[in-house]
Amino acid sequence: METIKGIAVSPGVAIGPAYVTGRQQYVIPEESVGAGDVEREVRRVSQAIGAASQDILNLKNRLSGTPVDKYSAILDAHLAILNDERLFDAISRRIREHGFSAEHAVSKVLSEYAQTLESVDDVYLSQRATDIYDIQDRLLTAFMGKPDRGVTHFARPVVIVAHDLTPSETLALDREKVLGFATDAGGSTSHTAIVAKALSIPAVAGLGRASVAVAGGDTVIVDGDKGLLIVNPDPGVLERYHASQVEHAATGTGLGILKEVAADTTDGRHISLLGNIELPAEIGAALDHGAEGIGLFRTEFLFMQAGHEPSEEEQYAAYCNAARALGPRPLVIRTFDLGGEKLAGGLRHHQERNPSLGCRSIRFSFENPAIFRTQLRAILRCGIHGDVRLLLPMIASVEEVRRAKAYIAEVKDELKSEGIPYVDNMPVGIMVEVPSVAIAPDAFAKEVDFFSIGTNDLIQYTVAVERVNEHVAWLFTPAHPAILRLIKNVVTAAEAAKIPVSLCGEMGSDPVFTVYLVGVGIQELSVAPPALPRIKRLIRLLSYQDARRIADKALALSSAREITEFLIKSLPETDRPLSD
Amino acid sequence: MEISKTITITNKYGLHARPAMQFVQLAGKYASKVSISKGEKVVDAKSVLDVLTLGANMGSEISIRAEGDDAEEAMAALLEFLTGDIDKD
Repeated sequence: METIKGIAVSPGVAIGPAYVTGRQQYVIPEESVGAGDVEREVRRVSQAIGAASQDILNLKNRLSGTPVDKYSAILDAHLAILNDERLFDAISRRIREHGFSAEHAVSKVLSEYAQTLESVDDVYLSQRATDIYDIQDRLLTAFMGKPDRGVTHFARPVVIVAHDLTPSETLALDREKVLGFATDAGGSTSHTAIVAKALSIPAVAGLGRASVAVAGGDTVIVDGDKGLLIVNPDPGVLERYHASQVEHAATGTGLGILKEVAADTTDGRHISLLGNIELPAEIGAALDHGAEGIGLFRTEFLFMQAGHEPSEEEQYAAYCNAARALGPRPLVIRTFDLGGEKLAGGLRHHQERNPSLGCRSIRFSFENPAIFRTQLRAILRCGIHGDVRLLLPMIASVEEVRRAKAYIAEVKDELKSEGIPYVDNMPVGIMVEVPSVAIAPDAFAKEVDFFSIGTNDLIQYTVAVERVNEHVAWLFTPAHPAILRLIKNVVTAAEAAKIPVSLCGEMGSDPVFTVYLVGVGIQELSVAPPALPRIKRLIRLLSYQDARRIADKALALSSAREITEFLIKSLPETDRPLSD
Repeated sequence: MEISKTITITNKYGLHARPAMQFVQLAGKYASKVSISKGEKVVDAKSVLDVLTLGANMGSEISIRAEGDDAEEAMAALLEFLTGDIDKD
């Protein structure tokens, strides 16, 4: 058994025999043609462009009316590129000036364009090089009469393991027979990833060497939730993945009864389970999954939806909708986490070399006080409709906490003098997601009413890894000893200051870490609603006393691997994760 | 007539495949000669390959130059396109 870590690009689990295909290789002879044959070669290029265009049109027709129809815009772009006069000019110039054969000229010119794109300092644009290679392949196929790699038709259901799939190949896949895919290249923004999601086919990309590590016919598991490819899984692992597929299909029936019971350990320690949401409309689903409230209400959607700065009334209406839907249950509203990559709408922003270390989140709010004050007013006002709490993101220093609180005090004075009702004693908490806070949490605990640990950013900033970067994504793990210790540190400081601490990152929805989090003293987990039943069932199998002992042992280990293995071993057999 | 304007690309993904194609189609509707440049690199705004490989990602400052009888109309249409919501489906 071998497990290769990549980037999860389309969720779900696929199990099946591998169909392996490496990088498409055409052997292009570097041949020259005589002066008399130059015009013939130019004509061949023109014919190949015609034939390749016809291929694309045929594929477009075949897709018409299928679920991926709307992605055929990709094919329109390919047609436009193929028929760009500039392309034909460049190829014919090579033939006329250097006596290249048509094949050689096509391969040279398109490779150069692709390389130019690959060198663009932008992940999204540089991935468009795949589209250029796709066009190159089509032209070479037109010359050489070589059929495509045959990834369109299969005798039996397979998992495709490829160096890379071109967007056309992804679109042309036989949906009935393709269980999942795994590619060496690509990232979560590649066209291939987009198409996989649209087709609901589990997919993992950025695996680096899957197409050489896997042999055709090997049994493979694509874990599109965790971004893993498991090659020739051990029988136990295979069985557990099969079980999880069955369980996945049964969610809502078997786990449904869990909604009614409390998330208490066997020795009676209650863990509050809350939901993370982006839209007020998600509250229904969160409650259906057994959420006791909303532990993280992200507000960026207001910008994304409106496309402009949302007014106080627009925000007030959205927050009130959420508060009313929850009744007496808690609603933690996080102020805008804008800037960096999330910046949307009409707000221009200066370009930053390193946006995740730049003017984003609370820093953005301080830079744009009018936006910040409007949001604070809307949140304070909606507090009269429920148990609303205010959460400040990306705090790095105590000065920022004080500055934000000064704004809150000012806004309250304004509301008071305007005679507008608001809540005076709304709890104000901070996200603990910058290591500076997690290292010195006691300094912050004196200033705020609660902590919420955001593990996604905390991990990113602690191990210096952006997890969307496929070259380093494997380093991104909650199991790093530093992360476990930081969480422990934060919980200890919160206990000493007698303030609540919750955890709202993805770590909270991974059952592997549940025992540790409960054992270290976390009493509130806020996770994506679909993950709630599983976490609750697991908590109900644990004893707090055992969990404490396990947490202490995990803290004494020195590597992420040892920690992960140890935590997996300490899970009840039925809840062992399916991999890692 | 000859006019030129400088603008910053603000959409998340820049002038990637589909927007590049739409931009080029729009430029192609006008008789004027239109070029687009980023830094030192100047390319034909009517060639999708050129526009795509210009590498105009979010935050890039690009200049558009239009030359011809309908230069003004062409410039207005192209600027409107670039400042609009070009990431949408």
